[in-house]
Amino acid sequence: MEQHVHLPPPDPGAAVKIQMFFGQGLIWNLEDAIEVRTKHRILGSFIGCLPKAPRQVQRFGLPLLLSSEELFVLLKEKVAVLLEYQDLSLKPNPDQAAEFMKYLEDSFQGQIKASHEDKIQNIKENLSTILDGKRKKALSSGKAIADIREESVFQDEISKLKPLPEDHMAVQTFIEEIWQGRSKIVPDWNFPTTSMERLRSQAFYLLWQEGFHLTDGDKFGGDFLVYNGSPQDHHARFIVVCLSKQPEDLSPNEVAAKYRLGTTVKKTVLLAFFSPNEPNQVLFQSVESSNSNLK
Amino acid sequence: MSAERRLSPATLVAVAMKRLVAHPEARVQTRGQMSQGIWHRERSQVRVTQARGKYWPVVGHQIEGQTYLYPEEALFLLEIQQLQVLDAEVPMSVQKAFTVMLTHERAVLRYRVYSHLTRLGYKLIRHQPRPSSQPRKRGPTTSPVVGPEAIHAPIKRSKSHALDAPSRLVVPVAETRLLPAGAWPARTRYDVVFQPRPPDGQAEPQSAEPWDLSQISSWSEWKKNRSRMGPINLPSVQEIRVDCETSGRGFYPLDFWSSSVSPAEEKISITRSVADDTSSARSLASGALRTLWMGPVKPMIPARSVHSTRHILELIRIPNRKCNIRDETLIDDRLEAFKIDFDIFLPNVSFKKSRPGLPNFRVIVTSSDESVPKSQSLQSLKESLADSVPLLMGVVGPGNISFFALQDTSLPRIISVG
Repeated sequence: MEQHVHLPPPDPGAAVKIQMFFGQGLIWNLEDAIEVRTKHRILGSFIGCLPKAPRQVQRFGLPLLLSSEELFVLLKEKVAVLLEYQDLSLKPNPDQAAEFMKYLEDSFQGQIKASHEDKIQNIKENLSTILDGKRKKALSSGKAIADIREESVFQDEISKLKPLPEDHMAVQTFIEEIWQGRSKIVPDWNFPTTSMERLRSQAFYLLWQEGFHLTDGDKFGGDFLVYNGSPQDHHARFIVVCLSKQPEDLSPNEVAAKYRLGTTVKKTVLLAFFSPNEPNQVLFQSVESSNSNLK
Repeated sequence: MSAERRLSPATLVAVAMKRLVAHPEARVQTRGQMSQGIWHRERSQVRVTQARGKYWPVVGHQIEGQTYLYPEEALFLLEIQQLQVLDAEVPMSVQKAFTVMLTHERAVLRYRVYSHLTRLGYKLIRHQPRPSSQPRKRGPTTSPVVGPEAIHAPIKRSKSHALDAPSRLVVPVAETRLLPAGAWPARTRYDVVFQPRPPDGQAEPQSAEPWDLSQISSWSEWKKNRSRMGPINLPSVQEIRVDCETSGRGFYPLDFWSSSVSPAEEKISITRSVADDTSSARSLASGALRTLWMGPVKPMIPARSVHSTRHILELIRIPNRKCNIRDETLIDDRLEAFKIDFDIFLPNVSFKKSRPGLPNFRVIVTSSDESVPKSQSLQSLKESLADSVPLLMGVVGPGNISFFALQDTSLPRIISVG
């Protein structure tokens, strides 16, 4: 089976747009991120602050960071396109600035109106309580209760309402830039170039094609972690270690180290390497102990 | 893919009043709680126009009377909705801020570590090198072994106070009580040889008169008078050899011989030689362990001058100096890469921007596919810092960030006998 190492030409019609970021990819759109993770089994990692809970490091928010191997798969499958946004670092031009100012002004006016209506609604709901309070006060101060009429109290309260001050305006900080301007498709993204990069991307792609979920293997000293299902519901099954040499060239110490790496955490270590006979073909070999009866 | 939703005014009001829970990813904040700043392209920093909230004791610095934020500080405050960064009066989105403020790969790694630790409550500032510390004070000078009792040769007092030739001081010792502590057994005399350095361009040292110590009759007088005798021009002295017998350490600093302390660290070498015919020597030579004291090789430390194994180990300890071997294989070519990025202060430590004090940690940010620093690089980095603040490596991987401490450790000395 011939394995294609090179990427197909980019497809501008592909749904998912990924921003090229120093050899890795960033997804800023929430729907794209969800699609990539659920439909295409490419997990990436969120690296931004979650607005609802910024003071913790367990859960993160957008952007979604994609590693080179993950980008490789998405481009091969023609699911995504890599883009460089040339205009993103420019100042907004006067038209864009004017448009945004109009949006802000409209939003502010809309908020004044909405908060006004909100407060009126609030008074309506609590009118009986307000009336009770006013009647009690009238009783204690000797005024006539009959003077306190619902309609006049209502109008009275409404007239006291002040418009929403500017400081109370709610502002939305956008995650994604609205003016992405001219975006250039990154032609010929130069990956993979080195032999280790080719090995890693091929190994990743093959395992992905088998239906596994894959993440980075930093935590366990390997290249990738392989899961039978979503990492949220499963423990990793394999730790993939990409070797630049053949497994038989590993010293016994190295083999023992790799074996122990797996057994202590109840995972199997998969060694990935290029076949000595066929170029570009990736082979896998697991390291397991044999329950031999040599005692 | 649809563009990010702009929330309607009614929704914004409802979210701001907390009557509605917005989507977890939506950032909605009331204007009055946000600080304002303007992106300054030339400086690549944010100029603050309105400071609100509780982060200002830690972030921000002054340039020409105005407050500025570093990119990592501004980006973090933007992400947690505490800051609006305007560019041509339009607030930046998170995507734009990322693109504009993180302009190279290392900046992205640094930001991720900054964000990670700040979210946990630590206070981070860009690394500030300590002002160069005072040179370490020398330890107390140990009492020297020898002292002149009588002098033989006259001295020449040259203007430069330099000795140009080996001078020999022969010091007869009349009584052991005149010896400084630590000298045992007593000798009848001590030979002190000053071996000067040959002047530049000459192979052999020139001859000159030695010191005149004729007026000195006792050790205390020597101490009183050595300032009168003038300092030895120490850089010109290569070696001072003192022939004597001692039970103490063999190395004595040069400042014993001079009232002016030299920063040079040459040491006097003590050569041990056979004991003369003193009473102590005689008693040893006739005692039970006389075989030990005969012949050219003798015990270095006599038994009666030590009281425990630990004392013996102290006496024979090799001076504790760090290895100065410049092994080229131990030095990173990219010493640039191992610069310290941030000083870290614990959340509960009182922190003042004007005088931060010593940080609790320092962190070097690196990526998970970079190599571990070589030992020599780390060593020279630590030596340049000259304090005991732990140094961490913040290793940024695709999915997570780990912190490793590379610290010196000392093995305990286990004494099981004595």
